[in-house]
Amino acid sequence: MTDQEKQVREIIIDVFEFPHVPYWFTIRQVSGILKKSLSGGKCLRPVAALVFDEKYNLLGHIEMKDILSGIASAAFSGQAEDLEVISAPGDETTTALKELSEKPVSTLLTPFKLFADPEDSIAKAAELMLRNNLQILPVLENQKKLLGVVRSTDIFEYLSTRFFLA
Amino acid sequence: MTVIINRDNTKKLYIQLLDIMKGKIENGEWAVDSQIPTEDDLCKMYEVSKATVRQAVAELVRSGYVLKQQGRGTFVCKRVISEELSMLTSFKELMLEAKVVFSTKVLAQTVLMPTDDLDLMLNIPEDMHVIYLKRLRFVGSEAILLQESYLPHHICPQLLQDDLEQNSLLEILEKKYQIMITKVQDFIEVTPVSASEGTLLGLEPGTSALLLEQRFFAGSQQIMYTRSLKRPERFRFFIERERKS
Repeated sequence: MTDQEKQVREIIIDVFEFPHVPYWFTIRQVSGILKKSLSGGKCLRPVAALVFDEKYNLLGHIEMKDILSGIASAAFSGQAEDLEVISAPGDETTTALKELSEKPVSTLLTPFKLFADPEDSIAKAAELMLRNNLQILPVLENQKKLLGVVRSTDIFEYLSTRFFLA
Repeated sequence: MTVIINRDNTKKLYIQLLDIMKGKIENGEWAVDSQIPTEDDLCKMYEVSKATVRQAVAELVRSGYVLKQQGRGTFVCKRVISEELSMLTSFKELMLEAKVVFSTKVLAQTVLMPTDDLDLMLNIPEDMHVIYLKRLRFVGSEAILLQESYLPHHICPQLLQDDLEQNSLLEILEKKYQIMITKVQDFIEVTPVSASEGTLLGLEPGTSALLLEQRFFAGSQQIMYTRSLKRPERFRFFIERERKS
């Protein structure tokens, strides 16, 4: 098999390698879970949790960076001049961050709209991810059964080897 | 002999401390009605953090070994069930799965990570995936029981596909997965319902309801933690005890 024909199947990561959260978990709960996965030693990149509904359908994922941008917009709204907003938060910022912490994860998640097939070539999945700036792409068998995900880190490994290091 | 905490042991420190303290109560070193050492003393005795001590003592309170008395300290309780007494109640009756005919609506059958002390209630590592089941049980058209169950995902991953509206969870566990429940611990209390729980049970938020928390064991392994919230007026529990010999 040539390099171009390598299939998505070969780089699938099991979904159970990632923490699972239901969409009603709060940002505070998810932050705790991501923090634990960081300190757990077997942390995968990107640092993310997969978000499911009550019937275990995959809705999307939330990354550390999504939470950071949530914090940024809660903390810095209309206070661009003030650089001590986090080190010495005022009442307004404290309230905004507290509110954010109790919001459901569904407010910050990146929904999954695109999927790969295990038979797809890695090149095809790579193109889809690059065009849409995706860090994680779910892989569905027969457009239905969730097999796992493809990560941008594995796509990087594949592309960099193929184009820069071959 | 002083038992010490083994830091090479993979068991969490608070669990080790909990086992040590249970041992002291069971062998009578810490007598009934006596005060157990303070948090500070326990920290020094076992060279562990205050957080570890708190967790272990909280668990000791929860399992009914000790009682906290505001401003006085923590005291060893009389055990309600002595070793000569065995509980003969069929747990299926207590489980409410047998005698009352329920219809069941599954509100959630999904996977999550343990947060907010769920890892302690289920006695699992905090990075372990958990199956979460939320079922509303009806008698006729009236919702009377809201049950949330948590099981380690790896012991029965297929449970996510099982039909829990037509089948009893305990029967599925026993017949399909050969998980034989050998022990159940019940914790019963009265608790105010939250807004979302109240909506499901047709109660005003803050109304008192009966909370039954249960830990299910198969051998020494805990396999499920269930939190059942009941409309208060519906149930009467029956518990029978008999002396073994």
